[in-house]
Amino acid sequence: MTLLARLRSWVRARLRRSHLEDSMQEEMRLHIELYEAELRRRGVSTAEARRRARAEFGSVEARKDECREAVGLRLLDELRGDVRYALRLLRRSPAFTAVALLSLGLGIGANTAIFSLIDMVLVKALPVADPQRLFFIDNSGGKSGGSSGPPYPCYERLRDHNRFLSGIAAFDENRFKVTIDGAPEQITGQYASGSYFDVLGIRAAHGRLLTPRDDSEFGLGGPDGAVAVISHALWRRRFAMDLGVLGKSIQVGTHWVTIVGVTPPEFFGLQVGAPIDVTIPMMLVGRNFRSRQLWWFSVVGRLEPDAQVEQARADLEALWDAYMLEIGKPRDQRGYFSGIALVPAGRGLDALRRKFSEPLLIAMTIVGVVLLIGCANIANLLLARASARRGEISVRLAIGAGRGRLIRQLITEGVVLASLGAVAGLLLGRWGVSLLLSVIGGNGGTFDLLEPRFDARVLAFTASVTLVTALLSSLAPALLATRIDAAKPAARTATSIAGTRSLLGRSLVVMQVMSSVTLLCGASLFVRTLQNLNAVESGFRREGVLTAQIEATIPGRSGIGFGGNTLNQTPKTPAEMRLEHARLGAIWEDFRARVSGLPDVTSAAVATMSPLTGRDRGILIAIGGIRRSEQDADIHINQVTAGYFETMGIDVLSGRAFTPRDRSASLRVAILNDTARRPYFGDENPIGKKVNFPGQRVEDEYEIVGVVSDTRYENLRTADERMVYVPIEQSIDPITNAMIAVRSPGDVAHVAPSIRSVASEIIPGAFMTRVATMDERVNASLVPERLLSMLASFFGVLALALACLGLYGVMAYGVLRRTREIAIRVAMGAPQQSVVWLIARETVALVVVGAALGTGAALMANRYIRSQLFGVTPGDPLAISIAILLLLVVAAAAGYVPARRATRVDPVAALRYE
Amino acid sequence: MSESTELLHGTLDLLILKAVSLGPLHGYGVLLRIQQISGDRLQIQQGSLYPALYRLEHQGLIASEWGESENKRKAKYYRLTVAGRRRFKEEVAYWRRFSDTIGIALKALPEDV
Repeated sequence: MTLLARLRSWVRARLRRSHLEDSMQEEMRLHIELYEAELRRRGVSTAEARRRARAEFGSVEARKDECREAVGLRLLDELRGDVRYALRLLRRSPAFTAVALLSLGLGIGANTAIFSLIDMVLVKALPVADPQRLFFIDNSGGKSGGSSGPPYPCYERLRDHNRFLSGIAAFDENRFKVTIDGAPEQITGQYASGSYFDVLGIRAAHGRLLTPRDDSEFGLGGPDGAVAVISHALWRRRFAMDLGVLGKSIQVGTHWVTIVGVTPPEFFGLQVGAPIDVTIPMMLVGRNFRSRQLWWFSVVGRLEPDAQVEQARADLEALWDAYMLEIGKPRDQRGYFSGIALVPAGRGLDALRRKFSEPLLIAMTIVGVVLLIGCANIANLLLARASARRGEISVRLAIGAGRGRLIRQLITEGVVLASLGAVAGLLLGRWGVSLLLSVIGGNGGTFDLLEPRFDARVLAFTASVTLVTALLSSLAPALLATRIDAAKPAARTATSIAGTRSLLGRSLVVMQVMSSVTLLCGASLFVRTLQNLNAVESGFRREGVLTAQIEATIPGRSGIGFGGNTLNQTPKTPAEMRLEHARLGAIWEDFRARVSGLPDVTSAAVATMSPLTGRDRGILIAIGGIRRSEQDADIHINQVTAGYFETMGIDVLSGRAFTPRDRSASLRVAILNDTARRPYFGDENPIGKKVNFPGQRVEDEYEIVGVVSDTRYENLRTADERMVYVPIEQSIDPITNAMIAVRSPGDVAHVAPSIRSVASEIIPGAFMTRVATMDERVNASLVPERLLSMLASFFGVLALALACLGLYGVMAYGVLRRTREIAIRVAMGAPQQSVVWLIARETVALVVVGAALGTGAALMANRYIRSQLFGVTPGDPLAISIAILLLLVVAAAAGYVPARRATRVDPVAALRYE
Repeated sequence: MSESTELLHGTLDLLILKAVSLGPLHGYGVLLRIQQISGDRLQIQQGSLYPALYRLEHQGLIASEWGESENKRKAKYYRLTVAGRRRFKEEVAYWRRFSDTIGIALKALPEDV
């Protein structure tokens, strides 16, 4: 009640300021008049009554001030005065203001930019809640088998009876012909159970997502009919983010569905690289999913917070086992499937975070240090100004201004300055984020979908950084400047302030030098890392090669997943599988032949893996029929057409490459890379030896016909892994999804359309995605490194510039302060060099101390950046030398100018002035 | 030396509340009323009233409206609000307790110790 009244009164007082002033004036005048009349009544003379009434009332203005304070207006008035005063001071010294605003603007802007990037990548770009607890629930066939969710009736049983999952969902990715407003297009989408979004922990960006009710009636959907949820990307692309999209009917495949919601922009589905644009309920699946023996969709589950993975797996496997027995599949007749496996589902989703969290945190540290250096500069400038204003300040103290009041005013100046800097910083930061996104984005990656936007959180961050900046830079100068004894003569106090000031100023400079050396060391390490990675022996030629992923939709097969995760209920015989693989392989071989015949194409090849695409397939190998020991048997397999090594520029070290004659009917052949050859054959010649792949669908023996050089498949940092190549028609997997690589002498990117048309002609239901040159792939893989080396270099140089500015300021001030001393020395006949040295000595001392501390700090900080480096050790002497050399050169320049000025001191003039 | 007493710190607010609790008053009227009810024994500096009045009004304990003074001038009249009346009662009770306690303490004789 009273709080409310107070607030109301304060607001009223603010709003009706003139009213308040009038009423005070009126009231006090009446008081004095009435008192005067009273005095006259008591017989006091008119003039005396007048005088006494006024004298006894006291100063009307002072009373008014007390009244204003009583209603909380005085602080406001003073603040307004301080701000106005601060702005006037800033206008009066434009050079100071410009330097200060530039350092603060850059510092605050950089912090804002990096923070908003961190906010986007580490906080918002996480598409699902707590991804570590998400698992695919797969039927598995041993270590390297393909995988799939269970039949639908089994899924229902798992859903209803499991004990360790907080949620379970089924989904089936698919490509749909989607027709919106009569315009059809091919879109990747999925059928999903009503629990899907809930299990993933996703909330709608607009409208609502699927619920179990939407997925309750077979063939119909739910009470709202057949509904659909679209992706943010589709919403933007096809509906221009129209909020009225809800309730709109679109055709997905054969279904007419009503759009009920939009997923958030960062949601792409559970498969990396295949963004889901439309989701419709599982119940709309055209197939008879009541079948007890049809394995056709995927299952994802969320582990309960306190459950163990193995606990949940065993529980699910028991349910699955009972189901299998019921459908008449005893353990020895289950063919391919032998159990339930829980495969982490959050990995891919979390990839962006994992890849960028460390570089971004390093970047945040860098910009934080830059801001600190900027603060030190402002503090130094404010110190210099405070001592210039010592006259003003001591007068104000002498006439009774409180020290607290003066400190408040000086800090207000700092806040005003920092706030102006923050405005500049926001503009610079906004531009910086776009710049950063353009550097690290591109290639259709997740970053392209992130929208740089300064929301309330970013603004709050900037505001708090600004406040901290203001305090850091103005508190010490304010305290120091007001430490004046009003009784002492101004000159004597000035000297003592100057002493403290220059000690503080010098410490600040040492801090700045130290920080910039640390940053420069980091920058040279990051730059060298990037150079090393670019120069790394990748094993492939990156120039002039275009790659694209092609997915086939082959009747009777699903086109999803690596080898397709669909299995028919009846296990096929090895012969049948061999036949099917050959049939699929022949399509790819055909495709290759046609693409290599295109104009401007030197060579072309199809492969299941191509470098830096993030795809991988691990299997076990047996040499000469003898299976290797557990760890030694692991090898990666790449199933390729003829022309692969030629196209990718991989050298054949011995034997031969694959040729178009390596067909399904010919001798089964394999090629090893050098890393695989070494442990298996050592000095022996591997050519002619037999290998096979236990546990695969096709367990045939392959004869080694060649050895090729190593290639970095995963990324440029990871050492080469063992690799075996087999011809695509002799593949161990049914290949429905592969990469095409094309080499062309000219601009390779323009071949893409013709590849696409060949693909649609030859490959059933061909779907081409992720078109990129190898060069682009290499660059995309180096984004974190580029980000770091760019940021560290830019800010390292900026830090150096700021530090030198600080150094210059302190030195110039030192010369000014020691004019008398220098004059005496010159008058006594000191040679010019000795005067230069007198000043330069201090510069050298500051720089040496700073550099030593900085090197130490760099060595300590390197522990945190080690994982980001490649080919350089943290204590790299070259990196440190470069940093220190750069510092010395720039610092020498900054220190020389004041030293030169010292030699031009005219002793007569200087001493007379004193 | 007159009989007048310096105001104890913090008691001015209480006296103002008391004064206006007897009926609406303008600023000068409050001063006169306090002098009157204290038997002219309290010294109040003429101008010191106003900050206190504004503070009490800001706290919502008194409210003001414009009226006409005895010399036919525009005057701001203060009256007690509901919150003010409640506060006044609390303050009076506190004051009684306080002065009783001090009174008892001051009456103590060496034998009592």
